[in-house]
Amino acid sequence: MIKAVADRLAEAFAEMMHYKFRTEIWGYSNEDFNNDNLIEEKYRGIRPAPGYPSCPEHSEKEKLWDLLDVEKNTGMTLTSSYAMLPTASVSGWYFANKDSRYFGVAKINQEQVESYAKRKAISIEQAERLLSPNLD
Amino acid sequence: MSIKQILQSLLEQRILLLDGAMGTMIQKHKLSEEDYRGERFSDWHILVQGNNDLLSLTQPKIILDIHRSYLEVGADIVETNTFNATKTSMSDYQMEEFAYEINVESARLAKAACDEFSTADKPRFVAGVIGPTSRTCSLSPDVNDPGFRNVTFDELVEVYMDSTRGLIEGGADIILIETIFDTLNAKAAIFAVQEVFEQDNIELPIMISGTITDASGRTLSGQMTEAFYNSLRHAKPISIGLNCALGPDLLRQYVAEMSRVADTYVSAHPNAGLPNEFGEYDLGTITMSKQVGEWAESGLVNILGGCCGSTPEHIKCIADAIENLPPRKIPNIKPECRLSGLEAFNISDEALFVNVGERANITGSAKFKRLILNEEYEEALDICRAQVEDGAQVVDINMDEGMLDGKAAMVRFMNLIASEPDISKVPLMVDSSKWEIIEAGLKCTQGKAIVNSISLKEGKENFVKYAHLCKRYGAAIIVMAFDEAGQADTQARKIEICTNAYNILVNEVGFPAEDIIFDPNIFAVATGIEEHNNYGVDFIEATREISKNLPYAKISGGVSNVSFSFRGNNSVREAIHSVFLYHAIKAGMTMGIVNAGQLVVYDDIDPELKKAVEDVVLNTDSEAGERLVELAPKFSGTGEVQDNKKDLTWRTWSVEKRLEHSLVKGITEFIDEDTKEALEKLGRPILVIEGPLMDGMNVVGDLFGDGKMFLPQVVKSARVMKKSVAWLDPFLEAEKQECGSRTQGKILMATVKGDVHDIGKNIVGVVLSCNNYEIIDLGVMVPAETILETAIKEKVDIIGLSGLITPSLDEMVSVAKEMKRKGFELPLMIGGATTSIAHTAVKIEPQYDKGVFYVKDASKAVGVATSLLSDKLKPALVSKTKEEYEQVRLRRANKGKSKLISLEAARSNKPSIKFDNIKKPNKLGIHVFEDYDLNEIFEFIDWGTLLSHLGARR
Repeated sequence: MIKAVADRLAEAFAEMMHYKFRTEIWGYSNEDFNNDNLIEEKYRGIRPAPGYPSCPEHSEKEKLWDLLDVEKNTGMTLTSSYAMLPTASVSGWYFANKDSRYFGVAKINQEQVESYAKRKAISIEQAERLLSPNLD
Repeated sequence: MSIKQILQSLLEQRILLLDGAMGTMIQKHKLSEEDYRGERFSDWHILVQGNNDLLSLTQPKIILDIHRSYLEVGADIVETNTFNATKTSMSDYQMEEFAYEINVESARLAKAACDEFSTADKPRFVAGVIGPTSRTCSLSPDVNDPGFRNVTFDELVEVYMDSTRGLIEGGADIILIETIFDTLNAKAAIFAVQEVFEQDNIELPIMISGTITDASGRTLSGQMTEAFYNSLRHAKPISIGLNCALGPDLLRQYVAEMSRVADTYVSAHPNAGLPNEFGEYDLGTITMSKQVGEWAESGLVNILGGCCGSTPEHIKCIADAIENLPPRKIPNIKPECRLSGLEAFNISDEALFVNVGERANITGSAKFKRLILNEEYEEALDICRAQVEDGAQVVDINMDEGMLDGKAAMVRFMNLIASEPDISKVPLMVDSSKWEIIEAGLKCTQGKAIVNSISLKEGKENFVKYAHLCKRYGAAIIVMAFDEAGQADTQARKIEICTNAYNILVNEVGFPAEDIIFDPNIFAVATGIEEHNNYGVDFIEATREISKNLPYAKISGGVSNVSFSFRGNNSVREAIHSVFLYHAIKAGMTMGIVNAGQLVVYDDIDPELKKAVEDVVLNTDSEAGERLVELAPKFSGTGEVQDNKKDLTWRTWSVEKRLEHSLVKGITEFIDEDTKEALEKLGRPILVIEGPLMDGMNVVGDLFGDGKMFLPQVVKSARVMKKSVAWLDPFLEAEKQECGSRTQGKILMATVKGDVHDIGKNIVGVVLSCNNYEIIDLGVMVPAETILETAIKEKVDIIGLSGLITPSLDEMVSVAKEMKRKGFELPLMIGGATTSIAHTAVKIEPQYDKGVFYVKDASKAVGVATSLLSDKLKPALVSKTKEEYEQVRLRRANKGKSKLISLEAARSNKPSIKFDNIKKPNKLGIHVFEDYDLNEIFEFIDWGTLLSHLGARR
């Protein structure tokens, strides 16, 4: 019960912050406030997160944590497998571009793995481990 | 090339033909007493008519001609006329002294016949037959004394060695141990044959053939086919199979089973049907060859022949039927520790923790000791039985006691166990510090047992000697981490000794690695002696290394040692056991000697106690032991298990929660009243089962899967579940009655062979009968034969198969294959916890093309059944299902085969996203919000998701 409520509160907070970002902090959007519209995602921009189909690679959370100094600012931590603690936590990116869309990363081949490893400056083995659900 | 190599190369090319019956052919000569005696025995003091083996001496021409008649029609292998040529069987005619000679002469006759027919293209072989004798090592001939035996293992070894030597002297190419109805006799035969091979420095291929005595599918001594195979595979036979007792129609399913499990060639020589009222076998040659020919077509066999009632004409027809058919390919079977009692018990790499029952141990149980010393064996057997019922998968037997003749007690008790199928269905662990007691125990079990234990304690020589013998008796072994320098206590010593022992066993003794189980010594922790503090960690870490570096080896240990310093405080001891096991199992511990009835659930240990225990087991700091000692009195005498019985605060919870609690804790005390209350609350019995009861069992399943609950506890949970369902049963029945008798159609339901789980199937049955279907429920453990026969007899409309354990999946595939083979048209429904749409689509549906339907749960069953029995709806369902399965198969087939374009091509294909017209954010930098107003957040809550999470919206 407590867990379900905490999960929903965390999600709601993310939703609210997104609204605040669109209308106030970034301020690119001028929209009517209506919760149902939000849930149906009828607004400009997207809010994906590491672990979403469009970014199945969880270690990207580490970058978020470094950039925003998350641990110091909020007390949220990452486990060795990049799960967030406490469990009712949400993290992610707000994209503002009106062309931004959700999509799913499908199977990738060795070439892509190698390119990814190079760009992220990690070993190919590490990259394969991180991307294992998407390896062909 | 050796005979073995020649045989192997032939067996790779084609199915080899064995001859048919000897006795039937002799009968045709209608020989008189005088004929049997011949000149040589004309004044023998008792009658000898019927002593067929004697004819090898007195009527050699007849025997020679019978061999010729089989060779003429193409038999590759002929069997010597020695079925009863053991001293044991010859004693019926007081002719023990001629047994050896009969073996020699019989082999000579067969060899002479083979030499006449043998060519380079088609060599012929003599199989020297070793029969079962007229006595059994596993069964008592005296109903009043189940522990009595009229023949011993050692006596059989002696007579079998004599026969084997005779057969070899006469020129046998193969030793065929056949018509085995008591596996222990066969183990003695194997022991004897290998002893002769070793002593006389010769080695021939061994063929083994057992006998299923009736349609129950068991040998006379009670073993199932796979158990039989597990007991004898240590002989490394060139072939194993089945013969006699049944005709080909009834024998088929057991031959199929043998074909599935055996990692060697498979033989079969069935009778020509069953004897008619005149005791004659009258199965026609055409029918028989058709039936066994089908086995060949199905790829089940490598060697085919006939037993009682078969003639050269039968063998000729079989030869024609199998011409050009390829032999069975030996399947790729993973090395696993394959044990057996009456039933097979295989420990694979993926197996969950194996519980060995420890209560039948005279050194560890005061009660058991008193019973044995007072010779109250009945009660002692009850202790064993209770352990098996409580979930022990292996039972340890130890009779080491100074006041007792340990060897005699071991033999007596093992023999008594053999007549208790509730106990002897599981493999036994023969436990003693004295080798002679272990050996005596091994001579009394037909199953594949575990020896507990041998070690390098007395040096390498004895270790190798005992390991050799264990291999010859066909036992797995526990090897203690002990050498001449003493018992290993540190991680390094444990690993060193185990590695050393492993290398000796695998490389020098040739012991199968999967049958080696190490006991790296569990010692007491928190004894107050600093050197002991790391004993838990030493074991766990050594276990991790051993299971990683010594392939297929298993790890075991006596768990109760670890908590020895807390004796008298059972709740703390149980907590230590649970915590220790939790970590050791994660490190690779395979099995443990535990009290199957008493283990606290890891998650249920009081957090304060758990923390203290965890610190001790994992030796976090030097004060850990002291902290636990201080804390222990607080929990003394009131373990969690007892606590639950006293602390009844949980009784104030909601009825759903109370049911879950009872299920997880295995408490039956309140289950009736809670079930009643749940029924009043929910209205229908089915809602109670599918609701709170299934929810509770799911919790149990999760805990079990996480290694936080053990099988004995799950067994308790299942009992609670059963009790609750039993209470609901009258209401289910009443509901069924109300549904009336008008029937929409007939559905046959069964839990498949090898599986006893029926809760799910029963629920589906009730749901369907409430929808006006007539249900024919065949219960559990139903062989394919019975299902299909009943389906025809009862003219059912649909067959529904259910099962919970993974091997049931294979069995369902077999049923589907059988349906196809027998030309069934009925739709087949598949359900049960381990079944899935993927398995149904990939494995079952391709075997049967008249419609296979995966039914996810009881609620789906009605829809599927209704559609299947409606001419209007059926075509749509059939085509939809076919398409769906095709998709599933495609998805699976495509794994790893996706056609991916190159990275360059992909990049050139990217969407064009415009980055103009982007506003600069009003505020940059990191924004931290603390203590946010909940009211504002509430506006954004997704209530729908929340409510469904809380179960308010379905």
